[in-house]
Amino acid sequence: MSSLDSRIQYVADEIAEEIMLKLPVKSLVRFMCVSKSYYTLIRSSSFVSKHTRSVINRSKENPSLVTVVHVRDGDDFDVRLLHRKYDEYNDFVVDIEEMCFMPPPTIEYEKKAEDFCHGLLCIHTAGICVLWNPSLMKALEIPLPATRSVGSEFVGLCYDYVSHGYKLVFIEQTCFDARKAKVYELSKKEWRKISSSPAGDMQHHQPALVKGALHWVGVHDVTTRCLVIVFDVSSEVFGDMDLPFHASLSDKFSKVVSLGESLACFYGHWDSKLWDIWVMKQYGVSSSWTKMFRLDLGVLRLSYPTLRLSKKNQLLVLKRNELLVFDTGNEKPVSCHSLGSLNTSLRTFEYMETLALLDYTTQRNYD
Amino acid sequence: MASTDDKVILKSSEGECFEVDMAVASHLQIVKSVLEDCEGSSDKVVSLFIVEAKYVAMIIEYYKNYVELKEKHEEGGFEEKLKEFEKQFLEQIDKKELKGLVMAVNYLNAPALFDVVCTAIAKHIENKSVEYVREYFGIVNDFTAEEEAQIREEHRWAYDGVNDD
Repeated sequence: MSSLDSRIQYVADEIAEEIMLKLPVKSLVRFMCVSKSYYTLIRSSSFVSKHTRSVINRSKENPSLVTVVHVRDGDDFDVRLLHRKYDEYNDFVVDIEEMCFMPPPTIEYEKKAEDFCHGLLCIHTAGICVLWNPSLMKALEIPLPATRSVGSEFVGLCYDYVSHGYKLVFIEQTCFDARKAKVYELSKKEWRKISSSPAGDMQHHQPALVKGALHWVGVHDVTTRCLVIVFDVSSEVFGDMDLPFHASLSDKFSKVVSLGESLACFYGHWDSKLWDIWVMKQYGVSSSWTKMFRLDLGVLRLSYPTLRLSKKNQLLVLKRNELLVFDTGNEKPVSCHSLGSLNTSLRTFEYMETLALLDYTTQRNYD
Repeated sequence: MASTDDKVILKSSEGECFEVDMAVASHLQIVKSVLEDCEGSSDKVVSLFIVEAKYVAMIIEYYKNYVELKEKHEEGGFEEKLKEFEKQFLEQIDKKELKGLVMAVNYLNAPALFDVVCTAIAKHIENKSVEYVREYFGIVNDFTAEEEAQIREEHRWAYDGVNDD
């Protein structure tokens, strides 16, 4: 009887697909040219979302980071991503590569806001939003819905773990009208109104993505109490949760961020150097908010750091231009690594590769 | 001593027989379902018609270690120990065998090893050229020269740093 080895030299497509799911983006882009069926497979939305899922799972184990640097030259600015890896065991930051992007001139340098989610950078100003996938060197411009007043819009980039795709949520916040929210699914290519809207004003950009939902600190319309505004990405419904403290935002400042799989919250004075980090130990349960750290972070300059826990159970704080490493119970960092000079606007996020946007352009039909 | 009930015989494409503990063989879904189909029968021989003896031996070696390590490190540390073993295991398999092994494992439906072999092949081809992948996977290029040139041009950066061998 003939054996597998001699009978089939051809690796079946379903096996090849499993192997492809484990390849980095660059290899996949190259292998689009293997054959028409590989081209069609790699660019298909289902492959892109399966690959994204597998990278999300892998990146939990082996995180890397990018520092977003803005370099301004007259009216133009470009965005540089410095891709690095933090080696936890040797307490050392390794440079990997630098990626550069020139946003379209419609993005106003002064008014832009940005966020980074699962490998996509989102930069937006009034009227326009640009998504950039640095691992694919591909950008996509998405017009934002019109607003009544400038600067009243909040944009959140998120990933829907149920339908496995990226989404943008847009909220217009005006004092004389009810808030309106719209959602843009990358795969559908259009904005659509949703019936749910937040119960208060958002206080910061860069919502925290935790448990498939976006989170902002907000101020409730009726009670004027501070709360966490929650947007469930897959059901597209807004809700809210309590913050660990009752505060008005006139004297102290607060922002919610993700810490691994948990929601965490900064609390402190802008001019103080000490910040409390609260963690919601059981997601959705207000009584589980616990003060976990008090950190000496220096002056934060209107920009909150990103947090993550290392495998050695240290807290990594990604400030604008520094990576600080804290041991539990210590206000002072045990080590500090420079990520760039403070002369340029910069922020540091967690990075992963993604094929997102590959399936988004005009497709040649090789079926 | 384990009774013979706990053993099963796996027969390769050449007709070579391997006596294996049920605990090991049950990781192969195909063996499990064949045995379930003929439950009650005293004959515990499963023919793996298209799988060569060398692959049967590799698969048994993998799952034997898998089962042993799992028992030994019940309290924890299993995953690290398994990773160490997988590294050694893969070192003794050449690239051509890796391809035969992935097809065998896929046929036998053994998820853990399938994942390990797919990862190893992905690592192997990661920096290879398009031509290498065509040959390795046995794919015929059905693009015209113009079509291929155009796709390459669109993503020229993806062709840097390729090692051809």
